[in-house]
Amino acid sequence: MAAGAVATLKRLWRHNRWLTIAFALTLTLALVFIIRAGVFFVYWQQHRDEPIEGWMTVRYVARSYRVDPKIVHDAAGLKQTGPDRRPLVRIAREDGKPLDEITARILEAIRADRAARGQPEGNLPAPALSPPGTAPSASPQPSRQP
Amino acid sequence: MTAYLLEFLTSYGLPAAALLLAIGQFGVPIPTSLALLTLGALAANGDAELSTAFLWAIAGATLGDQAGFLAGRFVVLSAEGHPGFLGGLAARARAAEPKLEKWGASGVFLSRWLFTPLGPAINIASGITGLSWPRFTLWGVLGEGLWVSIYITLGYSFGSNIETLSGILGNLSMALAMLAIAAFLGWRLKLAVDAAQTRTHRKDREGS
Repeated sequence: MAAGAVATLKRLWRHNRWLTIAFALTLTLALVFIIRAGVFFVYWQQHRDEPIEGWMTVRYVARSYRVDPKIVHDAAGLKQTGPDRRPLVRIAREDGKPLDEITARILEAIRADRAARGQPEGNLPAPALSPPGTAPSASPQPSRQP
Repeated sequence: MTAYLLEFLTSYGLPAAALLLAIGQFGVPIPTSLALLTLGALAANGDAELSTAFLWAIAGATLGDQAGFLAGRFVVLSAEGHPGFLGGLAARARAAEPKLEKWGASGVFLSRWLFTPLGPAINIASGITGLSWPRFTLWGVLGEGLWVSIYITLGYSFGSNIETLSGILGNLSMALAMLAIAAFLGWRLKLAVDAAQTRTHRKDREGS
């Protein structure tokens, strides 16, 4: 049986070299992608606090850090006029505050909240902000579409 | 790049999401699955309307599919009968038509949601090989509906850290696409082996 398999492989190599190579290559790539998915999965389970980015909304940040949305809302310096659906970049642009200042205040509020509840603070990840000037410029009127 | 796209999406809302999906389904490599997960997460947190997001997403994805299909049909069939690469492609596409009638619809459907990395290529291939437009559209819309539902639901249920979730799913779908191609190549190899064996047997019989 083993000898038959070797003979078959030899014959494949002789007559269908490119097909055999392509077959082996796609199988190898599939394996690589499965391993990569596993690595991402492990990372995902261990990192529940997602670094704050400009596209995130107030309630998205609150959910990722498992705090009351009101805490993030207040920390972002928003008025008490119901939930705000804007992403942080738009809040920064339209309210005239630097984004890194807003995110720093949000992180501080989350830290304070966790301390008050006696939870381990964990290492809050640093915000991953895109460099200024690269963000898209939204229309100036403060419509609240997501 | 990813951050820029997500800022564009959340700043401009659902029409922006539809535009990104259309561009992605046409074949420009942008993280469309991540865009759908984001829509789901926004809806879960009350920052977007679930049903409206669903409709915009299907509309955008279908627009991209149609653009790919039409590009394939018009650009290559206008080259039919001419020499050169495009002409040769058109001639080969003609030859592949009977097979496509059998496999085209399921190929379109499965590449929408299961083997997603193959989607844009299959759009253009369907246009080139002349798969009937109503069939392409029907199976395309059904498949996109399933894809959009799966990813929006995942984004909705997990609601946070979707960038890493998208890394898991992206790698899994690439693995599935590779396995699909490997299955096809394996089948071709098996045919080749069988043919070779038949030849050998025949030779043996003639020799004895």
